[in-house]
Amino acid sequence: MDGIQCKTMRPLTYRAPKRYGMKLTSIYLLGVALCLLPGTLHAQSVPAPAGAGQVYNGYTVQNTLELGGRVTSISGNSNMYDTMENQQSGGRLLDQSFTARSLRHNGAFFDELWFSSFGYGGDPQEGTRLRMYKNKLYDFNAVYRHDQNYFNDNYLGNPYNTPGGFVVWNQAIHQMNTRRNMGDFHLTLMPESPIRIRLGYARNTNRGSSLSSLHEGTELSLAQDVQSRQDQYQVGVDFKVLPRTTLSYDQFFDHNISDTSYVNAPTGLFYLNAGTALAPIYERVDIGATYNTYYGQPCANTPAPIITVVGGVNVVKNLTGGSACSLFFNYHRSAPARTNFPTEKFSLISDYWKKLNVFASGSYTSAVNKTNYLESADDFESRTSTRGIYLTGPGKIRQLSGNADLGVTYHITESWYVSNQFKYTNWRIPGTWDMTSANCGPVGAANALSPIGTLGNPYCALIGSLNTSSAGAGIGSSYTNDLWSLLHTDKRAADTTILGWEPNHVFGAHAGFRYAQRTVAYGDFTTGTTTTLSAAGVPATAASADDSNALYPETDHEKVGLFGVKLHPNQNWMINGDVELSYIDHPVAAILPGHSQLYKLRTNYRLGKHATLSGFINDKYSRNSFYSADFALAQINTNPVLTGTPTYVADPLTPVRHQGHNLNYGFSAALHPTEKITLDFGWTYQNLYSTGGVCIPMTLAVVPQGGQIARCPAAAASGTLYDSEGDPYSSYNGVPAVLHYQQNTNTGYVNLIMQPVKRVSVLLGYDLTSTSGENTWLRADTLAPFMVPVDAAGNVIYAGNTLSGPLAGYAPGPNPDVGLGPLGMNWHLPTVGVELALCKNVSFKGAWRYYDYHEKSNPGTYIAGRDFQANTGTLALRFSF
Amino acid sequence: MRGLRTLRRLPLVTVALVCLIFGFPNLLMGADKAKSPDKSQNAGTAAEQAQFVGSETCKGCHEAQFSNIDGSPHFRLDNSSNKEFHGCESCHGAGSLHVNGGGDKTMIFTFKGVSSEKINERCLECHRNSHERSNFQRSDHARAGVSCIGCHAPHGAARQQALLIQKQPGLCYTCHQDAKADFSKPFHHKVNEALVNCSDCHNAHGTTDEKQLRSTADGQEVCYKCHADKRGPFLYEHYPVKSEGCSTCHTPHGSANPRLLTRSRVNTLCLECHQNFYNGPHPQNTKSQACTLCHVGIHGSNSSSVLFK
Repeated sequence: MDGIQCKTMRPLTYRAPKRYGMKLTSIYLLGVALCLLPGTLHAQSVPAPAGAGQVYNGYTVQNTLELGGRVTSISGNSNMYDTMENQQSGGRLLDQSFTARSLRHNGAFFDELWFSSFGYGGDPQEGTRLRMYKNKLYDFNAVYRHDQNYFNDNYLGNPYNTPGGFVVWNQAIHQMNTRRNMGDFHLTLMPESPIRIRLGYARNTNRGSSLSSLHEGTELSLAQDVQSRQDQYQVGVDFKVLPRTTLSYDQFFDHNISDTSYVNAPTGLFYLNAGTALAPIYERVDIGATYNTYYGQPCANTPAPIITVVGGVNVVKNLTGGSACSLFFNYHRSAPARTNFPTEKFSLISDYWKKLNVFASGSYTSAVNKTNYLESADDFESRTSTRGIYLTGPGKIRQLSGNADLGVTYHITESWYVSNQFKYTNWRIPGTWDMTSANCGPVGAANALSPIGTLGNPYCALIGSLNTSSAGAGIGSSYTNDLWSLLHTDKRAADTTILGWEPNHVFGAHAGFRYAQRTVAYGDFTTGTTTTLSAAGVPATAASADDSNALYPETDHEKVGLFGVKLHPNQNWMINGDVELSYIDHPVAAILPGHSQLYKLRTNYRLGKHATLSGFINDKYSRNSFYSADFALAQINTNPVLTGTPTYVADPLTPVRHQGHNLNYGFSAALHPTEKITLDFGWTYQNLYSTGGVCIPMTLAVVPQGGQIARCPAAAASGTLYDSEGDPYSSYNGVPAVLHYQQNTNTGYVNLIMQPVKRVSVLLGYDLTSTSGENTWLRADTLAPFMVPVDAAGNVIYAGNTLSGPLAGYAPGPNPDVGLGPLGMNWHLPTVGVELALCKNVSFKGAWRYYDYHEKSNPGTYIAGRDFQANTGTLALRFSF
Repeated sequence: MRGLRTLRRLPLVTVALVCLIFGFPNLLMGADKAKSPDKSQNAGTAAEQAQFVGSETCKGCHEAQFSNIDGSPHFRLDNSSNKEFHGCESCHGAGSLHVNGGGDKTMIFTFKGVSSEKINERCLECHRNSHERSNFQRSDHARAGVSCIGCHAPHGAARQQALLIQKQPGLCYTCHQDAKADFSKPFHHKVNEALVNCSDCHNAHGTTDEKQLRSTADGQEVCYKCHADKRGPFLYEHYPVKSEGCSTCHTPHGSANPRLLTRSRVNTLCLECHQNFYNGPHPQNTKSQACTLCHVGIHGSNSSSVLFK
């Protein structure tokens, strides 16, 4: 401690009057602690040994500090490295901990103060934890955490564009680079008194830049400025009204702010070309993120080429009507939202009667989310030949929820007990949106350069386009004022009863049953008017199309049998087994298990301080043979839901329902044969499997290998079938297929820590994760792989597409050019570390870690590979005093 | 004014009701006596009852353990004005028979060789009236026979905060190797990096939810504590997010798949529920196989019924 100067504190030479000694000591220690606050603690550091530290004026003080830096080199896809690890070069405060404990438990401001920090200086995760308490007066906990969340994995959501110098996405279309800062603070006053007060505050901010996208004619890439914040407040009071009985009241208030906004990202910009010359003023346009002219994306590209190169720049031709490409001059969206979640909660905890434990709680939340939506775009949408979008209006969404819990455990005898847990949740989300939307039409011929007609449409001038005309729009100009009202409800009651038997410390068993009932409902209602404008700007107002859907409740019932056994053959050995058998009669979604079985076995054996051996097996099997009438695949509605009783027809996928399992097992061992050697190793295997039938849209002209498949629903029936919302199916012909997914994951690790000589410790470690599997589509009729005809370029051949090359073979459909990605990869992490004790309380630490991410399959013809290798070296000095 | 008077009386009424519910049986059964020197687990003759001897007596033979306790929050057992606290004997029972028997281990409560329920009962004598431990007796850990000293070490804890045998997550990994494997996968919550603790999402002492998960104040998924932007409420909800929970699509611990998804490809995940497309053209051989390219507001939207934004 000598020589440490803190600017906020008096120098060490100051001597306070004795009667204030303890208080000033406490202040000094607190100040020293605050000076050391920007320290770090790496997760692998060793805490100060018990009994170490110095005694200073009535306190035992322990300090550790680890200062150093990292050096990183990366080869391959650095975006993937930053997504998965993001350890960059630079100095660090790697580790820091401080503890001050009053020897006689009579500290002036605290009896114990502890805080630790890690990661400051550039690690993607940084944090500080603090705890202070003073016997009988207060107990204070605080946590601050910072997380740099970078995501740029191009496997997800990628449009898989073909190359050609135009729009190519080798990065994630939804990249993220955001910072989350989280602070949690809890203070308990008078923790041991009959009346105890609890105060809590938490703040969570998430800010940064990211990319999003919008489907509006084309898929526009958007720059997303993420701005969100959540403040949580809590005030609670505990009353110890009777012996072993506490009655509590808590008031919570959460306030969420979202100010995330969007503008069109400066990617994929083209010049608008009316011919051979570049068009003036509005030449920069965005045709969107999707580019695959073989499939007519972003536009039909007829007469080709609509997208080309002129004068050395990328251009898109300014065509008229439906042949044109949808494109954007600019786009803006803001939807600030303010949400309040006030919650009142009562709780009762009681062991008043020796054999009876009771917990009860009830809470009520009345949340409200207010938004003010504004979206505008200067664009051209080819499908509707409209120019300009405007959408605005305030929304108000409420969430009203009530929760109740009652738990009781009664010890019948020394060996027998029975427990019951009742849980009730009921929430409803009614929301309204007073929406005004406008489609603006072009003046004259419908093309991207046509001015937006503002005559008669009060919203089109608000878009802010530089190309407007006070004349009436030729086509497509309209505005709508609608009031949307929606309601989601979910009500669930579950009761679990368990009978347990523990005759001795060696054996115990329990059996139980859970019954639950849930009712969910959804409905939406629309009312409003749509005003359509003639070319002269004359309005014609009519009621908006009614897209209402009546509230349609569904109820399911769950029954679960619970069984468990525990064995302690001796003090060191523990074995646990559990079985859970579940049945839901009416799961509302295909993926939810109608029947499920869960088996778990776990064992743990400790050989004193020298070894700990563990093993486990978990297996969950589930299947769903039932469907909600609303989403029935086996039951296709032949009458509109709104006007008649649904009747159903069989479909060819009846025998193929969702089923799957999640099996994992493994073992681990931690061996400590001598004081100088520790060996820690383990291995885990996971097999994840699922299969289920789907009816998917596929271009009719594709003839898969093995011949055409009877479509679902049958083409002849199109127009007479209705979906769950009462809307008739349009004329599409789905392909009945079976999704077959399997993912095998092996995870292994080994760590060897040795102390070959007194002052030196060495760590050798290796972590490996390896996956394999398949993501296969099968024909529903024969269960043979769904193979589609492709040309030499890998394009799926279908009749009517003149761009196809000759048949080169068959490839796994429906999209043959997407690699397995994470379904087949190896992730290697070898580590070497050394710690050298330089002198008393000072040691040198060095570590090297290698990262190797490798995917076993081709990433795809038109996308960058995701493999990378990286080295990170860490050097540090560690001080303990 | 009448209503106001009624409102003022409400707390009194509540307290009165509680007293009535718990006090009336008490009147029938007799007042609960203050804790008296209990019989040790293998007491001597019926005529003898163990008496408290004081922690200084214990220190005479068990100085290391005494020092450990004195340096931990349990020092209050000796210093508290609460008459029910008797230092070491608060947990181990009155020690006179043990002392008189020359350290006879059968004459004092030891935490070895007894059932987890008996161990837990000892600890919960003081630690029961806490929100964190209010459901321990109905928890998975209690049913599995995990006792308090399975994770905590009142004497000589390696981790002074909460007196843990070992700090998180290593402590939890000694039994939950499956979780350890998950956190080693490429995409994972930053538990090994010390950003997140197991106890941030789970309450090891049990909750009213499955897997001992915590929840937000209004009973929603604990995930919204950090992922507040997904909390809503939204005008257009994505139903399974609210009703089934985040684990319908995500593996919370870790996954080989980006975004911790349960499937490697987004369309595989979506199509398992959305098995028939009502009217939209979504040919899976084109851009439409990237569902979230268009359906961006997948957790809920305030402006698009099809979650486009």
